[in-house]
Amino acid sequence: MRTRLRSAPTRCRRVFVHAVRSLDAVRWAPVVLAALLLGGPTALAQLAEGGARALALGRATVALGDDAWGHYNPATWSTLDQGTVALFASQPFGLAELRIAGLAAAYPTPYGTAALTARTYGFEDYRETTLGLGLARAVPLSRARRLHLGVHARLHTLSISEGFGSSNTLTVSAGALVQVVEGVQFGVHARNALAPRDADAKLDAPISTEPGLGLGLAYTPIPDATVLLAIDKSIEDQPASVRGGLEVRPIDVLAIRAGFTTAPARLSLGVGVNLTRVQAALAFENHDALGWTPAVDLTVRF
Amino acid sequence: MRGRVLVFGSWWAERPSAVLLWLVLLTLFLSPVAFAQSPADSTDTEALDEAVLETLVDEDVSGDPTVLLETLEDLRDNPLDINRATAEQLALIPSISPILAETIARFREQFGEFDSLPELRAVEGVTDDVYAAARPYLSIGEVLDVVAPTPSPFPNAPSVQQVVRGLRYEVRQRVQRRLDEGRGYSDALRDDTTRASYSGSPERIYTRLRATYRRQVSANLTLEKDPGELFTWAPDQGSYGYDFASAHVAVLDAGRLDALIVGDFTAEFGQGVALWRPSGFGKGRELRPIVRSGRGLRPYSSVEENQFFRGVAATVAATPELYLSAFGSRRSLDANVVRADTSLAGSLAGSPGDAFGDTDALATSLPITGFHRTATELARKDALNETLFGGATELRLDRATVGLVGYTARFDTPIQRGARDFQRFDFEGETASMLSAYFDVTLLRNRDGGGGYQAFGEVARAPGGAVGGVVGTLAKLGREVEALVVARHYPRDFVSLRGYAFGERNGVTQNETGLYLGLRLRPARDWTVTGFFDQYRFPYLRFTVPRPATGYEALLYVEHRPTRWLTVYAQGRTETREVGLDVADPNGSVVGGLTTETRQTLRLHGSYLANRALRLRARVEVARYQEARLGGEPDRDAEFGVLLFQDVRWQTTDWLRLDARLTFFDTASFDARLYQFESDATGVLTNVVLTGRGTRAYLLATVEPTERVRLQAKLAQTRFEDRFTVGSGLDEVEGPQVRDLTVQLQIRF
Repeated sequence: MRTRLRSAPTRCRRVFVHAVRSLDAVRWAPVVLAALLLGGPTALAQLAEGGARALALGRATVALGDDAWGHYNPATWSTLDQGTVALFASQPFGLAELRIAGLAAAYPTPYGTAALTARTYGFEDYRETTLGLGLARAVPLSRARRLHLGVHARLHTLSISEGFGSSNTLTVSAGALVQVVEGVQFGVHARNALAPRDADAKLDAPISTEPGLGLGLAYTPIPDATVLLAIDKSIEDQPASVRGGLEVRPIDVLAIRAGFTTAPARLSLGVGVNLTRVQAALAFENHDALGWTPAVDLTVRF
Repeated sequence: MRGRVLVFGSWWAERPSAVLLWLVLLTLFLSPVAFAQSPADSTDTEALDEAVLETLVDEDVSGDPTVLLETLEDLRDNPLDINRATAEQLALIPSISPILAETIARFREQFGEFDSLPELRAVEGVTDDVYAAARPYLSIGEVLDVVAPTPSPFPNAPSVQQVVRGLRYEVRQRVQRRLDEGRGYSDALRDDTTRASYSGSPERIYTRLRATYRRQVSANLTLEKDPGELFTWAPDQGSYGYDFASAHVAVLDAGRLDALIVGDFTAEFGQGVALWRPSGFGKGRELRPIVRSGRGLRPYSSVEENQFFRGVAATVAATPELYLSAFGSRRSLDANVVRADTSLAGSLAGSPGDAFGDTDALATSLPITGFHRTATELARKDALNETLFGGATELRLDRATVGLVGYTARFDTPIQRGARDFQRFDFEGETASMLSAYFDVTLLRNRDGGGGYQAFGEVARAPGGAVGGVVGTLAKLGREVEALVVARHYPRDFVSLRGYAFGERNGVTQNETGLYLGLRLRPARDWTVTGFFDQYRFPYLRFTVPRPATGYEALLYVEHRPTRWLTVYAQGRTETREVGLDVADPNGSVVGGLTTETRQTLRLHGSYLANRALRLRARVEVARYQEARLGGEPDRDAEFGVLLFQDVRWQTTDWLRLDARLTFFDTASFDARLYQFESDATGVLTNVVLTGRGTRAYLLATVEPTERVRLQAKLAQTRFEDRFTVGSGLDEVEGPQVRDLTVQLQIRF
């Protein structure tokens, strides 16, 4: 039976309390300290999500298509022309307690591309699980141009052990993606447009459910390079995050990626291997205070 | 499962961000056929919207900019015939400068009438952009193969029968309401007679009835009740149901009669130093609107309540070149009136006897908000009567206009200025007379690329004898270069009660000297660069500024239009000026000092016409504010503000258009505020100032079941994340959000 979570002053403290209870205080101390220094839950809130490719590109992928995750823009699903399944694993700042694993599947149908996402984060005593359903579709603007639209509904479950119970939060995101001129795509993502906003509900919600708006451009001046630029503003009390990314494909099978974000400042690097049906990506993101986050993903097309 | 998830359906409506989501959902699940149309032809789909106004007015415009909007709407509803309109009329269109208007007129003289509107592009200087911007205000009538043998030098006067048969009627009814009521409407406050509260309901109700015959005859009745005002029949208070009423009957451009107006009217002559309507265009990214071009006597039909005239006005053409105007107005104005036999009288400067002399009442201030919601505001209503007579002589030659205009106004209660230092040069007395001379000369350039020069200016003598004015020149060198220089000088004792000339302080044509330099270039076909630099000085004190002060403002605007469906621009703006600061001297008493503040904004904006049915716009804007400290202290940390929005216009079907926008804003303070112009019902200008942290969203639906009927509804919501009440005073709203609803019905027949 599920019970309502007891209120805690801040989520950060809640995580901290449970980390201490899990007898790993020594390892947690620097994380929590850094998190507090950086303004509470901010540092922890921006989890390594949405695939290793997006992570390597500085999370500036709101205008980038061909992605099974749809995390930075659900409209991207409609750019997929094949069924796609992707697996993802990451260990933020090298801490096992923050480990994330995710799965995404997208399948184009005559009515649009249907997508399924799942993600789990945390450890035994503190776990966030997210299940998502998405739909994306391309709307013809003229003979050659199309507008991609997508929605992503997610159910976030937060459970804390030892009698604290669990809570569910439903959020819905929407996005659009369009090629405005040859080589330039524009993307917009109203993230968690529907999400709990009253103080009581927010306290019970997992940390990645705050609403935000992302705008971005993807510029492909030559076939083997793409430059990304994006800005993301969350409703939380933090500055807008400016993001940039560069993907270079020197040979067909290899992609080299780099990116940055501000607020918080992070640099990232990564490589990708693209075979006909299988793609693998590896990314490393460096947070200015919390250190390195490795991530890996595998994408299969069928 | 949690209850919140189950009641999902009820709380979606409270989420501002939901608007875009629902648009996306609608699009996803409705038939995509609506989008599957041919690519946009921007020249005939671009309606008059806030994007146009944004280029014309200063973002923190004062006065009532809806008056400007109505001018443009009138022009759009009665488009100018490109084969009949005079150069002067063509120059009323925002994108057509007087020089270009002359060029068009000359082209018409040389090559005959235009066969079609797009042919206008053959005129040197009419670029695709100019044509697209001017298109809504232009029409083409029948092309006459044979030129009339002896055309009259005056416009044809229609017969009464023609007018009666050709009358077109328009009814416009609008109701606006804030769904989250302010404190002033609470029953508890209303029952407490010792405290101020709003006497009426929170709706703004607007009704306009109008009959027009082309551009020549119009009869209009405009009625409005502001939020908080009573809807009551009280003729003694000047309230006939609605709190405000305005009406006129006018005949324009009929034979020798250039204008005859009975009822409400405005007078605008020259550069607006002496006489102008309640609002004017300011420093924007377009140079052209800065050059005023007075239209003379015009009927008034707007809702600004204190700055128009009421009476009779006429302009007659004595010869085809010489226009004579006369006007008389008698109306009441809002004023704070202090009577000699009350205790308040003692608070005026000196002893009561000094201030009052041989009069028994004095008007101490003239509020111009037009609100009559509380007992205090109602007491001010129509408390002062003004009787004004004026006249003008204007010589309209081929390429030059020269005029002389003057008026004398008399108040039935003398106006007494305040006793504080900064009020020393405010208007005082019973009568005010002003005389002004103006000119406007155009010289066409006979070289490759066309263009020309325009010189304009106005000099006026204010009540009390001070002389001030404005002078400038606009040079248009071919298609690519346009330069504007405007100098203004309004001395500290230059009181222009009815002026609205160009200046830093919108609408206050007093105590300012400045020089404006503007340049507009088209370095390549798809690039436009505009910049201005404006330096100004206030030679005397102002409210909250205890010393003479200086400042400057600069703008750089770069627009790129790689295709006709994509426009992107970057706009940087910076303003540094001196503001008042309370500084204590060594003894601890406050000495009025000055400090310097700088406000900067940088905006990136993109507009994409996906096709005839869909337009997407996105914007990122950052504001930075910094105040310098005195005495060697380090400057205060800069404050920042940021705004992101995504905007969608979707013409779903012939009869339904949706406008939606989602904005995220986060500003550190009011000083780092950001503005956005919004789409709204026809005739409503919405310029929202965003401060604090939160989201704003709106959805505007425009339904046009037939050509004669237009129904519009707009729901807007601002939701703050950093506060629990919104607004202040009687308008303070409990809770973190405010929602506004507008519904308007327009019928033409």
